[in-house]
Amino acid sequence: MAKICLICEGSYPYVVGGVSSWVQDLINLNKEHEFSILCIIPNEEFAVSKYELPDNVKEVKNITLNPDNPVRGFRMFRNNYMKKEKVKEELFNLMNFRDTSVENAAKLLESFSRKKYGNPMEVVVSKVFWDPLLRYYKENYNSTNYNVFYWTYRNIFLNLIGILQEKIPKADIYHSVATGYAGVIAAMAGHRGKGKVILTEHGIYPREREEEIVHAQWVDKSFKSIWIDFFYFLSRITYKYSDVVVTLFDYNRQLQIKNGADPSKCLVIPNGIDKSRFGNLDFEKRDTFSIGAVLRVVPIKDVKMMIKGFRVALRKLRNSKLYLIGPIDENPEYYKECVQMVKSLEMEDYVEFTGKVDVADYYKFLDLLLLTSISEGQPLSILEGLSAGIPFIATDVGNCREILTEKTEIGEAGVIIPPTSYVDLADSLVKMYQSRDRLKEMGENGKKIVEKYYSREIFIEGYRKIYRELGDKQWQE
Amino acid sequence: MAGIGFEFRKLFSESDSTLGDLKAIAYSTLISVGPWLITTISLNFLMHISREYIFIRDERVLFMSTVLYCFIFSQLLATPWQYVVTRYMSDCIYQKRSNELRKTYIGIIKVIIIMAFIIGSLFLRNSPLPYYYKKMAVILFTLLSASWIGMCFVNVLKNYKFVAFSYFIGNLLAMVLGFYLIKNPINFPENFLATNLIFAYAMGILLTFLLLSYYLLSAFKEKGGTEFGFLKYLKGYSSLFFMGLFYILGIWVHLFIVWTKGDHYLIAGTFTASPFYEVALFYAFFITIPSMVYFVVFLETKFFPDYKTYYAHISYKGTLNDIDQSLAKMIDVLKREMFYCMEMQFFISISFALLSKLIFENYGLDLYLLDLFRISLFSAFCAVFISMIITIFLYFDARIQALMVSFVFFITDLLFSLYFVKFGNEYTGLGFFLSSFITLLFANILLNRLFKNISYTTFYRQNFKKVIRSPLINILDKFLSRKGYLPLIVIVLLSGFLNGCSRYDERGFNNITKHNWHTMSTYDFSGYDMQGYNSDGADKRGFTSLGWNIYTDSPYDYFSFDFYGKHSVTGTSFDENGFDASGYNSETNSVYNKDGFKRDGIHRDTGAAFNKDGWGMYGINKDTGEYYDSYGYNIQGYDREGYDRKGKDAEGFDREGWNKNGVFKYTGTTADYRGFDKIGYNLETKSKYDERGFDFKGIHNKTGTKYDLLGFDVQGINKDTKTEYDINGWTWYGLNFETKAYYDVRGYNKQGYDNQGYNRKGFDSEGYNRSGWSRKGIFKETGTKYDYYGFDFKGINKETGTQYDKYGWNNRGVNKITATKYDTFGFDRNGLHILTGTVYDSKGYDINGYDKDGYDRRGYNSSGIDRDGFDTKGRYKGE
Repeated sequence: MAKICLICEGSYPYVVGGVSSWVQDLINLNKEHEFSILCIIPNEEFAVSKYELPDNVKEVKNITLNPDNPVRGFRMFRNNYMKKEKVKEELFNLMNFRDTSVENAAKLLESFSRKKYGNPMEVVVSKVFWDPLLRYYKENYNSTNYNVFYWTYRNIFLNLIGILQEKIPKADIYHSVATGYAGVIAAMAGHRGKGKVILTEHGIYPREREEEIVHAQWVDKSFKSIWIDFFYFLSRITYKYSDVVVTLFDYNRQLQIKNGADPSKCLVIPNGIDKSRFGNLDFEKRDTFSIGAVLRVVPIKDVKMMIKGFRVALRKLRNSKLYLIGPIDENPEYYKECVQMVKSLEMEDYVEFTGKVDVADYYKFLDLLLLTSISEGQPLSILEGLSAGIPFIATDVGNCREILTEKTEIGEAGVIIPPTSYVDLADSLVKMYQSRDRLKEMGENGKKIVEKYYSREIFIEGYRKIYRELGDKQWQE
Repeated sequence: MAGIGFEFRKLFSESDSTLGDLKAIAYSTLISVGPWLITTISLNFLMHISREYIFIRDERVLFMSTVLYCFIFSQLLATPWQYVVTRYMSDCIYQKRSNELRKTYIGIIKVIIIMAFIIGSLFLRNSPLPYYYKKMAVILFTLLSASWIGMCFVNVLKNYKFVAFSYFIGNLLAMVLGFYLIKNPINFPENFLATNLIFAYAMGILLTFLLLSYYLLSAFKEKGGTEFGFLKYLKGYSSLFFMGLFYILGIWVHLFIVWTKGDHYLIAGTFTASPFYEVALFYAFFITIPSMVYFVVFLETKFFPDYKTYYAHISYKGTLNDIDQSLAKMIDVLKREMFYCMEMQFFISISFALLSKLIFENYGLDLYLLDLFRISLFSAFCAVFISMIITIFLYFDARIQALMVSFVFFITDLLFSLYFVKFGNEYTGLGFFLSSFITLLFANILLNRLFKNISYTTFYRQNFKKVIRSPLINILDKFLSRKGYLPLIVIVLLSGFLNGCSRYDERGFNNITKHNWHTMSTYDFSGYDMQGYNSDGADKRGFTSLGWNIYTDSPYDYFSFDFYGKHSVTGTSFDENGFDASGYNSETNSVYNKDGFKRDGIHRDTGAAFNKDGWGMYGINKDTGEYYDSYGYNIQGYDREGYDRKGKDAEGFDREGWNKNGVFKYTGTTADYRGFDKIGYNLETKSKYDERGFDFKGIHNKTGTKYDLLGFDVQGINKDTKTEYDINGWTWYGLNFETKAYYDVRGYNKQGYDNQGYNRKGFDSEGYNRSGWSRKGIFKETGTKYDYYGFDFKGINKETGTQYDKYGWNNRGVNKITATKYDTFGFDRNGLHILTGTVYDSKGYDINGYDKDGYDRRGYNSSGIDRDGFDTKGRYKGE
């Protein structure tokens, strides 16, 4: 039995989704281990649990961003008036996240986490931070708005030092579910020899952030690169100090290696589906053509594109209906926009938002499933849908292409379309509608693919082995 | 609100003529120091008319002191609040909560009025000043304090013009009303002219305050927020409160120390004053007006635009380069202008310092005042620049630096003033100067350090949102904001101030209306009001409330007691007869003294100024009008020489000085001066006669007359000269008239002998001359015809029959061989050696050639035996 600390960033147990379900399964399937969960969340109000915690979860600890620490005079005096040239030089180097050396950065972050220069606020408001910041600005950003520049770096460091100074649960293994802030906590725990470190990446964190930041209004154009470099830096440091780096499929493994992960540490353990859950459903096929999408109504799933594609295809689809199955409360604004779109496209009769329901009731009669995400890892919803024998139209993101079309010895289980293209979606919908035999064949293929490559047993055995080996190693040390 | 800076810039840039420049300068003076200037003018006007119409100097001084106290202490009260409230207002405006300003203004005014009222009342509670005067002074103090707050509010809105306007109107009213009232005074019971002037001035300030309040209340129409929300800032911005307090204390504490420990006096038992120092300080500060004006103008026209640019760059859109450049420009402007301002003010101050001597000499003013004025000139110079640097600190929100400067100012002022006040008046003002000078240097250092770090500090601050949590003040705020509490508090205060509720005292006075129950007027039957003063303003003893007695026109009443009951002669609260100021006798515990007289001389039994024997209080006899009756005896029964009818004095001695126990009055023993007892027996000579031979009655035993053999009587008076000296100028005991010594001018005493005992012929009283020989050839000390050495008076030796004795010495001790006093070995006649001064020479041999063991130079003793026991021939003789 090992003590395992799972580190999640903005997901389990407060957000429903692929990663959270995966975590819930992981804990449930490893009953012989004790788990503690470290959650990085934006604020305390966020902490409303959406999952029933398994018995082997012993502790849930929340870390919020934007710490508000009191500033003590004597510490400020020490930071401002005692010679700190060395740390200023190191900080100056660290500010260039793209080129900084991971080892040096880890050393510096370690000293911050030991509160050598006080609490996060005391560091960022002192000259230890101010002087290298001024120098870095002068050398790299001299013609930009200094105020915004200051706040960009101030926030980055305040949060970074803040999470590093948090007390983390004692464990033999620190298992981070992403890089980013969660990854850096695990990495620093490993660097300090507190335990072994596992990283499981579903998506590629900095790439997801990069997409967010490129489109974000709140980040000043001149400083977007700072944020992106920062998130890649977090990945690099996580890869460096992880003992095992796991991902769900090979494409992502290649990306990790490209981003600096050591190939010898990189493993692929795909998600596993319990075939007993959806494999033996009694079908109650209806006369209508029923299309479903199991998703949270959030922008990354690009629900609007799905609605538009369906609208274009609707002229040629008789008697068909789109069921949007999943929680609608995560981004109410986006949900409202989607409802508004349905209304203005006069599709109220053809589109239904179900809210949170038991998906099994819908798998019983659905003919086709859609996935239009802009970004995905290895979507559990695809694996589940396939295990229920339903084919997919999915955008070419994450592992979708591999699952649906590249297991050639079995055959295709669906169609791949380019992301954001509702015209392609409409075409594929019409094609699928018109060839029912092909639809059925794909359903059969899907079932076989899941059984062979994405079974629960492979998943369980994969992590059981890692936990056992690392647990043993940790105890030996 | 239009920025005043814009108007300034317009005025100064458009004026291309001298007249235009003058207009601009006059305008900026008016709005920067206008209120102060106007107040000064109107006070001087009131002072001037008081000199014309108030003849009692004390009353004029009282008026001046009251106004001075009101100004100083209202500043002390209001300044700390001004800083806190200014900050609160700025935050309200910045955070778009302007709707709270109305209630804030009402709240702070309530706080200030209540505080001022309590402080003023407590201060004057025990003062002997008249009732109306006290009330008027408290009202003036309260209104002044409130008007400072109003002025501060309008200043935050930058409407300096309106501030100047309201002070002008208010002071105009004060002058007009003062001028009218001094000619047609309201009849206050006492000191009515001073009371009228204070009233006039209070009305002027009231008008100013009302104008300011009207302006503010019409500017702030919205009624949001709470009245006492600003009290929260006492917690978060206590540094501002204390900064204000310390600065204003620093400005005045040296005066307080001079008031308590230096050259000062008390006015009307209430106000301490040091007029010289006050006048010197006033003019010293007056002369700093140019720099104050310049500072305001430069702050608004030159500094503020750069300041805004800097903060715009730092908070919004600037690159670091923009920030640094705008900072450098701002600092440059600030330093240049401050330096110019200092230069200009220094030139003005030094000119006044130099010119002042001419002015002082011309008007014959006190040169002590000149020194005070000169040093105060430079103290004021420094103090004004300290306040400017503090203002600049506050522009940059450097509250700690501002607090440090004001604290250093206060503490150095306190310590230096306490130190120098010990050295006397010449050092007055030195403490203030040193303090302000050191503080100015300190402030300058802090300012330079502030600018080095200002950008860092600004960003540093942005990291913190000031959140002031103070549940206590919130509760207080809620409580105080309830309607109806204010009348309640006022009533409680009033009733506390007046000692209880409305009731009539034992004299029939109502303590609220002050009306008398019996007469239905403010005076009782005897014509005295509740405070005990009659319509002339005098109490029963004739004193006014200022301590002047109108009956005697002196500070003392008829019985020589002053206002406070201190007797002018005894210096205690009782006169010589044991009566106190109210006529109560401390010895008998009644209004009668031990002889039965009251203080006014009326006797208890006869009811008249004489007792039944005809004697008055002070011992005057009814019949003779003197201290003695017709028999020559006084009230106690003694005659003029102090003897009663039986010839005894008060102590029982008779006229001769003896009492019944035989003790002599003047010696205190049984013997009189000459040693005789009461019955004439001399205790010293144990006979009837004293040592001079006189008996008890002065009869000499030898002559049988009053004179002794030399003609002196028992008192030492000479029979012939009738003086102490005889015709030769000697007293009976030998004192010489001319030398006042026992020898006359030639050195001989009364008996004719000099101080060695020889008379004019060289013989002593026994007939021996100075060499010791009598006329008969007898030597005095041997009693024979020969002296110690055996020589007779002719010098012939008894043994040798020659002039030399057997050792070769003559009678004068001269050696025959050497013809000196020493022999060939250097010994004199007595055997002492010339060199050693002992009986042995330097080798240890005496005059006879023997050493101290008895051996001669060859080693043999007088028996011819050497030290080893052998004789000269070598034979052994010893044991």
